[in-house]
Amino acid sequence: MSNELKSKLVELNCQGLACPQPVIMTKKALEQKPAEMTVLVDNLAAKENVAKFAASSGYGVSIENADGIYRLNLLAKQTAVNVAAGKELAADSEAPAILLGRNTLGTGSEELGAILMKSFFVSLLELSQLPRAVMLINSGVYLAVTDSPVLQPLQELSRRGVAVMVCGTCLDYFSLKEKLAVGEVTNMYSILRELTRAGNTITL
Amino acid sequence: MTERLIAFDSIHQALRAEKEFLKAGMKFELAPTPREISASCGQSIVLSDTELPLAIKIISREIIKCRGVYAADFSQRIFEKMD
Repeated sequence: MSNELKSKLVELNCQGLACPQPVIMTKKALEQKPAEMTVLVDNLAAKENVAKFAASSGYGVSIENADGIYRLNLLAKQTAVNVAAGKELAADSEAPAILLGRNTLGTGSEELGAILMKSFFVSLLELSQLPRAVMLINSGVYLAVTDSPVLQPLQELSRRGVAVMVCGTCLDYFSLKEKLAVGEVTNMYSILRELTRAGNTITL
Repeated sequence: MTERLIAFDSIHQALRAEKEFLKAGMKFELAPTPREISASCGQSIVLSDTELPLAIKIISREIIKCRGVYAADFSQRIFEKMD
């Protein structure tokens, strides 16, 4: 269903209009099912009514007030979690999703773990059915940066359509944002959505 | 129920706030910043209106950078930035 949502940004200027005009205009615009939309209003009643209408129409709302102009940013609830991944993943229930919480594989020896992780990714490329997503959290984000030992296989997976989802909070924590070399920065909403949609999840 | 949400753009600022809030014995929850507020993946602290004055006092005392304070209605998903 979310495939029907349009990603084009829409801005609706309802300044100077009294209720119920802003709500009617918002209703009309939402009939086009935009994934995101901005509505500008300049009075309290319009702000409250447009927000309530949007919320009841399946949109989340953030509101900011600057010099008496209320900017309402509407985001479709059903796609809110997918926007960060940059794409809507196909609802393929068979392909697994892989959640990597570390930059090495297994416990015991870090040195060995690094070698095993490299073997893991090289082997992954040989599978007949690729995972739908590889999600990297905590030190797992080190795998997606410029000097990652598995950058090449990860880039190849991405090229073949596997969503490489990299935790933005984790990149921030390790000060790696500028070094990201593959994948899309994502957040916990997207990761959780993906975990619950995949046929099965492999956690490493 | 409307709660208060303090959004941070940096995890480090959120962690600093969490540490100070814990030290002050405050009740709060850490949560990812709602996508409606920010497209990037920041961290937020959710607390009650009664805890907010102390939170703001601590944030300004410790010079912790935050994106803003929001009145948050999670059931409707309406987040309004407060002045």
